[in-house]
Amino acid sequence: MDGDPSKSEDDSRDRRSFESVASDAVAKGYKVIEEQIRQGQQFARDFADRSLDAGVLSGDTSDLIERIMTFYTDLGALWFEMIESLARNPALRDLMPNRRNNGADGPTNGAGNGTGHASIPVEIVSPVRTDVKMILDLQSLSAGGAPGVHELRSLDSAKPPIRNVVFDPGTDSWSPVLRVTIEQGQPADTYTGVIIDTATNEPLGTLCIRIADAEPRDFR
Amino acid sequence: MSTAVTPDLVPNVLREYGDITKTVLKGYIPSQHPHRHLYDLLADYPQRGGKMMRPSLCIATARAFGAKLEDALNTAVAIELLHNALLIHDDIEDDSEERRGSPTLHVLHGVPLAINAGDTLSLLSLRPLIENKAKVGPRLALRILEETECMARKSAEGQAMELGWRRDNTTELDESDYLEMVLKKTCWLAAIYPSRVGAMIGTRDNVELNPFIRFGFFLGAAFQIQDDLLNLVADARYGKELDGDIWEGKRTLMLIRLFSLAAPRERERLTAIMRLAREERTEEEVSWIRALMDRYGCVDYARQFAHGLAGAALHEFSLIYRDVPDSRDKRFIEGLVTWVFERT
Repeated sequence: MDGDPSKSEDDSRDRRSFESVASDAVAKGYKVIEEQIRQGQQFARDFADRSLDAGVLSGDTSDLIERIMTFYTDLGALWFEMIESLARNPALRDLMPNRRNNGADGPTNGAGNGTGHASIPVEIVSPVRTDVKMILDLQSLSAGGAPGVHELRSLDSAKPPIRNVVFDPGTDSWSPVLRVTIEQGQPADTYTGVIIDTATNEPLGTLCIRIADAEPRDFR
Repeated sequence: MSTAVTPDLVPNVLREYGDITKTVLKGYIPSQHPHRHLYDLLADYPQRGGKMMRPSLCIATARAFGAKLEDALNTAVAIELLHNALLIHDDIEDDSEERRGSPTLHVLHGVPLAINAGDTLSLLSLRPLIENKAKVGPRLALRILEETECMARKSAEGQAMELGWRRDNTTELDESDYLEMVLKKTCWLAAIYPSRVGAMIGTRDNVELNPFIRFGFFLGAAFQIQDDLLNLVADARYGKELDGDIWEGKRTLMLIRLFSLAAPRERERLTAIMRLAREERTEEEVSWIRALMDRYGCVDYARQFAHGLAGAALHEFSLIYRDVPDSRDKRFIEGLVTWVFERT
C-alpha cells in the first residue's frame, strides 16, 4: 500500500459521509436525466424542422404527401382512401405552414379551408379489405368541440355494429386520426353512422365503411 | 402506492412472460441452411436463459395500462432479439470469456462468425416490429419503430463512450460521466424503452412519455451498478467471470470512485494497469485493484449509491402509476426495483 486509507477517510474535503451518498446519487441522477431529456427534445425539434423543410422546399406539398402515401402503402394493412382525399384537398396547403408554427393546431380546424370540408387521415386495422367514405363538415364544429361517432350499423340488424371507431386527437404531426378496428369475423356489408360534435351533439357528417367479402390478406 | 409485492411475484412474472417471449422468439430464428455457421449461433444465447427483465417489463407495462398480452408480445420479442444481438457484440468488444455460465459466442466460434451472428440477430429483431402493424395498427407500429431507432442510437452512443474511455485510458471521470454513459449504454434498452413502448401500446400512444425516461433511468442505473457489484462479489450462479470488469478495464462506479480516492502513487499504478491490454494484466494486478476497492470502501459506496437511485425509481414509479388501477403487472413493475438487489 502506498497510501493510508484511514487518513484519507478523515479528510472531509475528499470524502463524503456515506449517509449522504444516496441523496447525492439522486441529485446527480436527476441532473443527468433532465439534461438528457432537454437534449432529446431539442433534437426532436431540430429533426421535425428539417423534415418539414424538406417537404416545403420542394415547392409542391403534393410530393410530400405522395411520399407519405407510398410509405404507408408499403407498410401495409391500410387503405388510405382519406389520405388520397387529403392530397387532393387544397386545405392541406394551408395546413402545412400552420403545423410548422404551432404543433397544437390540427387539421380538423379547417383553417384556410374555404370548401367547408377538411380531411382527416384514416387508420384501419382489418383482416379483410375495408373501404371508408367520410363526409365531414368541420366548419360547423363548435369551439372546444371534437368530432365523435358512436357506432356504425348495417341495414341488416342481425349483423353486429362496428364499435371500435375513434377520432384520436393524436400527438404527432399528422394528428388527428380516425381509427377504425374491424374485428375478425365482422360480416361483410356496408356500415354507416353519424359523425357528431361531441360538445353539442349536432351532426357534422357521415361515416360509411364497406367491408368486402374477401379472403384474409397477407400483409407481409 | 400498492404494497402487495410478494417475494415470489417478480420471479414468477419474469418466468411467465419470459417463457412466452422465448417461445415466440424461437419462431423468428430461421431453421434453414446455414445452420452450423449462422442460425445455430443465433439460437445459442437466447437458449441460455437470462433474466428476461426487458421483455417482461414491456409486457407488464402494456398490460398495466390496459393492453392485451398479445399486443405487446411482438415488441417484447424484438427487445429480446436485439438484446441478445448486442450481447454478442459486447462480448467481442469487451473480450469477455463467459456469458450465462458458458463460453461466449466468439470464444466458441471465432470473432468473424460471432459478429455476423450478432448482425443477423439485430436485423431479425426488426421482423416482429414490422409485423406489429397487424396487431397494434400501422400508426403505433411506426411509432414503436421510431422509438426503437432512438433506443438503438442511444445504446450505441453509450457503448462508444465506454469503449472510448477504455481505448484512451481516460481516468478523469466523475459520477455524472458514469451516469450519462449508463443511461445510454444500459438504461435505454434495459428499462426506458420497454417502459415507453409498453405504455404506448397500453394507451395507444396517448401518454406523456418523459416520466418513463426518468423511471427507466433510475431503475436501469441501479440495475447496472448492482450488476457491476455482482461482478466483484457474486458466487458461481452469476454466470460471468468474477472480477471480469477489472480484467476488461471497465469504467465502473467502483473504479471511478477508486481513482478519485487513491493516493497519487496508487493512482499512477492504477493508470498504468488500466493502460494495459487485457491479456497483459496479471492476476496480481487485478487482485491489487480489487483489494484497493475494499480498502477505500468503493463497493459499499456503490451499493449506497445504487440504493439512492432505486429510491428515486420508486418515487418516479409512484408518479407514473398513481392513477393506474392496481394489478399484478403494476405490482411487478414496482417489485422490479427491489428485485434488482435480490437477484444473484
